Amino acid sequence: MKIKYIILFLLPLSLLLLSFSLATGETAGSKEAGFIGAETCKDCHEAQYDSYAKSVHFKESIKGPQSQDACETCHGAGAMHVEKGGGRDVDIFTFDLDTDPQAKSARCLACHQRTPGMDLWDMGVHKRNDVSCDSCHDLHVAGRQKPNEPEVCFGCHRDVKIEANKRSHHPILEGKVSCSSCHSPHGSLSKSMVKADDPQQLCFNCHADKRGPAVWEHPPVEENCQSCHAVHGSNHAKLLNERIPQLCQNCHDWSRHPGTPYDNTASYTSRWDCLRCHPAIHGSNSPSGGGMRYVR
Amino acid sequence: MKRMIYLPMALLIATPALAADELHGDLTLGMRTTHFASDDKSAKYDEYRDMSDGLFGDVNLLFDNEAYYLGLSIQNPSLDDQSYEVRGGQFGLGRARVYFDELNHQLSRDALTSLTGIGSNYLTIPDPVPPVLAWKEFDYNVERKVFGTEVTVDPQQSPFYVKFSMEQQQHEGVMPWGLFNFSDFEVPMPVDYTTDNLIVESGYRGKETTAVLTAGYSVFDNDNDLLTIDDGTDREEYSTAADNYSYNIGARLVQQLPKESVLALKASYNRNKSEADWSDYTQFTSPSADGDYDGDIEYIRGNATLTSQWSAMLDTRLFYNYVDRNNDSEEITSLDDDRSNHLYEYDRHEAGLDANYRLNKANKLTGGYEFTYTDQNREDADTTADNLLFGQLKNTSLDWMSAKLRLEYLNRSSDTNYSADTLEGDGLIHQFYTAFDYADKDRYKAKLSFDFQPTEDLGLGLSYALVYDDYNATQFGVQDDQRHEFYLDVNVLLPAKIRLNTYAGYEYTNSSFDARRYNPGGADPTLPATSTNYNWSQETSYDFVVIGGSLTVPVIHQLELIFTADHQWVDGNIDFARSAAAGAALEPVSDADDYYKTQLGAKGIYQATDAWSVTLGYLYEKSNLDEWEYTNYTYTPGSDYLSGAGLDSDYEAHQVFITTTFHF
Repeated sequence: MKIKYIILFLLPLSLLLLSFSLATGETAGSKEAGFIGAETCKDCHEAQYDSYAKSVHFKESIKGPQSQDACETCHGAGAMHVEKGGGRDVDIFTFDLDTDPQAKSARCLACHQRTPGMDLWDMGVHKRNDVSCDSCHDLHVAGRQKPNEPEVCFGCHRDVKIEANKRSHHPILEGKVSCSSCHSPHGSLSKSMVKADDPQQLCFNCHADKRGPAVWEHPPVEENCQSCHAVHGSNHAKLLNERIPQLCQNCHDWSRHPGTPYDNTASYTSRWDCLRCHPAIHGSNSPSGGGMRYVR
Repeated sequence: MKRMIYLPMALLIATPALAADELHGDLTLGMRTTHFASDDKSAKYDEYRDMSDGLFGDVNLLFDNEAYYLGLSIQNPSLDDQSYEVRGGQFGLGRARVYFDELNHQLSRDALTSLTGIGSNYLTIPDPVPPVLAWKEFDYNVERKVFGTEVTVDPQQSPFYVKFSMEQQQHEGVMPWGLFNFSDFEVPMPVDYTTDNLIVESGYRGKETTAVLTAGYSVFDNDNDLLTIDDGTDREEYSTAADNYSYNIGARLVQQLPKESVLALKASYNRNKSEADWSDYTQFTSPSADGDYDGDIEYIRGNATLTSQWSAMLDTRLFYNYVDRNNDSEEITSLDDDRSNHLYEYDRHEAGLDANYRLNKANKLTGGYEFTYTDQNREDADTTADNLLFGQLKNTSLDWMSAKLRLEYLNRSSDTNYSADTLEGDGLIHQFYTAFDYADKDRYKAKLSFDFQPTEDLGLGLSYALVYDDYNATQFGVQDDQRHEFYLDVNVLLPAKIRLNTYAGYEYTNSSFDARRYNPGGADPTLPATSTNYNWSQETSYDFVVIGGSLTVPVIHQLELIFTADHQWVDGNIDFARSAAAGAALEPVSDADDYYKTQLGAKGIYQATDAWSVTLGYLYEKSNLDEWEYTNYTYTPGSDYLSGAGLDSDYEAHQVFITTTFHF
């Protein structure tokens, strides 16, 4: 019941913050010297201008490029560039491969530092590995500028691309799970930038039947789902890290069947794997002591 | 539902009228037919997708003006993998979306069972069990439906924002489940789950300070409190997933500091509670006075991270994480066999420091150290300490190439909860056997990767990774394992605008393992080997190869041909060894999850006008699994009864499709 009170507390708090948000305002940024205006840029860069004109950043209602200095908001004042007759990198900021990634991201963060979630950009693995905003986002496109997942992510994460196409996999390629369903690409305080405090809490978002707390717990489930599962994909059924019974035997030995070698001559009974008799492997809720061994 | 296919069709017809300046998008309508080489369609073919013959389509619309936008996305309407999304917002103020997504997870088709009551939680075994030919056919599958909405109010001129999201997930179907007490039946376990998730986030963004409050609430409800099997003489009762709920609250503060430093502090509290209802059990008496079980676990977490940019050359990150898992669940002792549950708890501390040092414009050196200490009350493990060292060098001396080398070393040492003085009987094995997840070990990792871009028309990526674990203190259990990964991708733009994208990968894994097989009383590994008590070893290896790519050939201005191919295969092998005194040599399992999968595609896209295109294509897919578990499969091995779960892995499919797309 406590949770109801928490929600009842948070809802008015949120509305209060909302009312603040609608009541406060900031003044527009001041212009720097040397700006020449987008029409001048268009004279030489028509294709880039046209694509930019279709993008959301062209909207005048957005306090950003168009409402301020258009092209020069991101590329910097262009007067010197024009004076010198143009040319790549001639007194103009470009988003080239060899441009310092932090400098590129800084251009975007000038406005987007305040975007929800971007406060953790400095903490993230992407920034620390020289990934810049334009590594994933293209501003010169119409409509939404969200990167095309998973293709953009697979461009760097080759191993994940391979895993996601293995025989047993999460439906990433089928479009039912996206990389950003589980990861915060803009930074996180969690390992692998997952969207939860730890991996198992993330998994429980969709697999709440495994959340428990079970009467008879299986500690690896409570510690880390990845002790047994390869989350992006696996050659083994159920995204397991290893074939059963080998996976189970990596932790369990006891008299009779747990320590038995299951070779090519083993009886058929054992073939359905350990889960055949121990199906409640994620934790049993039985009142019987059989739950201790996950058989009920 | 089938009539929903008319929606994209109607929109396609109406498109010219819709094609106003402020409306963008595309409409696709297609038709396909698939031929299978064998009679049965494998669940693996459409595990997560609906590839039914007939019409299919997509709709993507976006209306926007200077102030507002409204979007509509429809994928595969009327099919089992359909999804719908309506999104809209006011630029500079906020946005909202409402969505529905469906997925029919096909687990296995054409399974057989003698049981009645499929889909319910009361299954009856006929007496006598009829021959397999008289068993009923059914499919293992779980349908997932997700309904949700998200609202974000993020005024551009305000430092405050609020986000809400609500979602309901429904899972319905049957999945394979094992029963140990009824001649090892494999039965359809009913799945009737509903999960509701609510998340609220409010934040303040100042110039130097960000403060965020988050709260989440999740409720899981299972319509089946237990699974009952009745053979006319006995009833056996099995537990299912318990109803549960979880809530969390958290706060984080991110503060900009001098030296371009950023400090992030985060604290959160999470509680998971469950209630297993035992009132309907007749076979077992509830060991709890109130007839149900109350699970109650709380997590308290804290995090502090400081990043600093000391100079243009040096930046650092210092962090500390803390997790405290408290288990306040009910302690019970079963009445049928006097067993008590174990309430698992742990504390974990993680701390680390890493630094990036830019040696010059072309070379960047990264190094770091992380320490993790876990204190737990697992039955087998007490404390675990991890020391991780890593270093990385990135070189971009050449304009057309970047290279990266990363090395890691991990040392893990653990204390077990077992004392040789207190172990007896079968439990003596714990003196010798160590679970891999807390065993002492040294781990070595190396990764080398190159990215080449000698010209704008040629890109090449190459990487190799090695992971080697040495469980140096383990007598029985995993001894060592290693993993090698090679990946390559090449993207080329050839003359005549022909584009070739290819990729290849090779993975090799190998692990060695020692164990003891014994009957009660024979746990001591120094005892002479007999047919029932002996030490044995096992070596497992897998080769995985994948190669694929696409070739895009512009034939004429309006016509483009695209060819795609992907082929992957796995060769798994498990070798065993034991002393001759234990009996005949153990036979290797040479078909351990061996499989191959081939996908080929060819399509031509004819761009009739700038806005209208037609695509005609062909897809071929073939998959084959050779796994010992399914070799010479029978539904009634000995006195057992199986249902054929996972048996239908192989397929060969030819598909022809035609689509037309209108862009505007």
